Amino acid sequence: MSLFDILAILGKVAFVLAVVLGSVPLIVWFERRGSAWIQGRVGPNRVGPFGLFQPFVDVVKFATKENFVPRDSSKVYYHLAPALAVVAPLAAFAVIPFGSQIIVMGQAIQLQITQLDIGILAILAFAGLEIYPVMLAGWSSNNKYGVFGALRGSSQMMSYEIAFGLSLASMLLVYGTFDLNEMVRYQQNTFFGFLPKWGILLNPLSFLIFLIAIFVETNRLPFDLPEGDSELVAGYHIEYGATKFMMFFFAEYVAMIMASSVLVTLFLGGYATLPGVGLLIHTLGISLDLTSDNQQNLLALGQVTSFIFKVALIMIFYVWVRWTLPRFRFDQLMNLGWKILFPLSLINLMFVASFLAWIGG
Amino acid sequence: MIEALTLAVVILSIMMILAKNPINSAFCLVILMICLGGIYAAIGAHFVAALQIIVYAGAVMVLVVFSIMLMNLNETRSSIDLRSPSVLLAVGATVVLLAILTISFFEWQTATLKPVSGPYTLEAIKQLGGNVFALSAMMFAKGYIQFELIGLLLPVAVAGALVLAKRKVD
Repeated sequence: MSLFDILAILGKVAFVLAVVLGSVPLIVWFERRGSAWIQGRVGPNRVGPFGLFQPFVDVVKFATKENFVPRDSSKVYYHLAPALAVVAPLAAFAVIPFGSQIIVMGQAIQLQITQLDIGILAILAFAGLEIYPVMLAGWSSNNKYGVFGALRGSSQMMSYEIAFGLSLASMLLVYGTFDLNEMVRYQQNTFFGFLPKWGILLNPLSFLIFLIAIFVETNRLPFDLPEGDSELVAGYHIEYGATKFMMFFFAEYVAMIMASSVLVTLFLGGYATLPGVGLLIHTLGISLDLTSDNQQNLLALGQVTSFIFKVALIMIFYVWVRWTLPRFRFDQLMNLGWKILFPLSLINLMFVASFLAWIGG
Repeated sequence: MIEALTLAVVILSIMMILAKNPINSAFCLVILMICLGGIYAAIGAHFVAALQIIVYAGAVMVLVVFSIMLMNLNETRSSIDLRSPSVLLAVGATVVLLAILTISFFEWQTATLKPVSGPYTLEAIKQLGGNVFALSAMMFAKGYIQFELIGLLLPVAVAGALVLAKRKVD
């Protein structure tokens, strides 16, 4: 491995980390302002323009709070849980492609931290580990509300992993590959020459099931029963304060960004440029008289921007849903998971498989 | 890389057996499963590595930890009676195992190991288009009857679990 390759990988890791971690304060700000707007309030508007610096002040507030540890807690697991909560979703970003490739000094750099032929399975592996911080945090802090939150969290995550996996399996049948890059390449084709061949148009039911499942997996309203504040005070992270609570808070948003990136890659064309952007880049490339390398770089810029734009749309949807729908009851949640989504995703999988066998693809 | 992971697996399995707290024991097993996945990934079997983590660390061990937490098992202070027959049996079995290991170690020193080559060498897998394609061709083209039979086992297991659970409730 040459120095160039090592630098390229380090650069990609730094870029992904900077974008993901840097966008969390922005989303928190949007969540607070957006909720205020939906509920007819003003929201935080004192710190900086439009209250944009509020999240940074919050970080200072968290960092300067008392750093307490409950007396009867299991110390190792109590400290391990928030760290694991951040690490598991962050690690999954390693296989998500956010652009085709850029050309630096005549060498092509794939815009994906690592390209594995198992792609999506690596994401599933890391997503499976996301249950542990919830269970650990609730159990180790030795609090009844915490344990209830942990039990609710782990049971709902396990239940919805089935619908999640089955809707994913139907998309794997459509694309015929585990490789996320090839999935995006497939979605760059078009129907009848103008309609993009995105997963959402190929298999809308699977998209719907996947969307509901990621709301449950990330513990967001209307499925935030593990931390339901009116019943469990704060659920599994009730005994966490100061920076340790901030890590859970951070982890929730990192997991949301991760889930949205997977959703975008599978169903919304991934880094495929938005309709019109491709034409814009093409005319721009010709009018500026760029070399073919620079044209590719410009295209990659358009792709990365399109990807971030799509993920941002899903994040806005997350916030919108959170402040619109009330919380489900636990039996309703389980009924929805086991009696509606599970059979529906199974039927969808059977239908997709037989349809593909019928058209012989 | 493999050496470090193998050492970790050995140490973790010893810790798992010796841990007094069942939660510690379970978490040693979780990390052990992830290390095993790491070993598979290090020898280039990414597919098996991912399955190892998804199935064992992500599903099986979650259920184990879940049930330990639900039953609220605490540290067990077992007093071992050195004169009980089970201890004697265990000591005897350990001596026999160690003897076998020592003998096989010296045998291995003298004998030359011949690699057994199956049809799936690294080149053959690459020609088939990767681990996933090789495995799926094997599973769905050559051994589809066996695959379906194993699939039949799952409903049987579910029905069995239901029967067992229902008897307790009635």
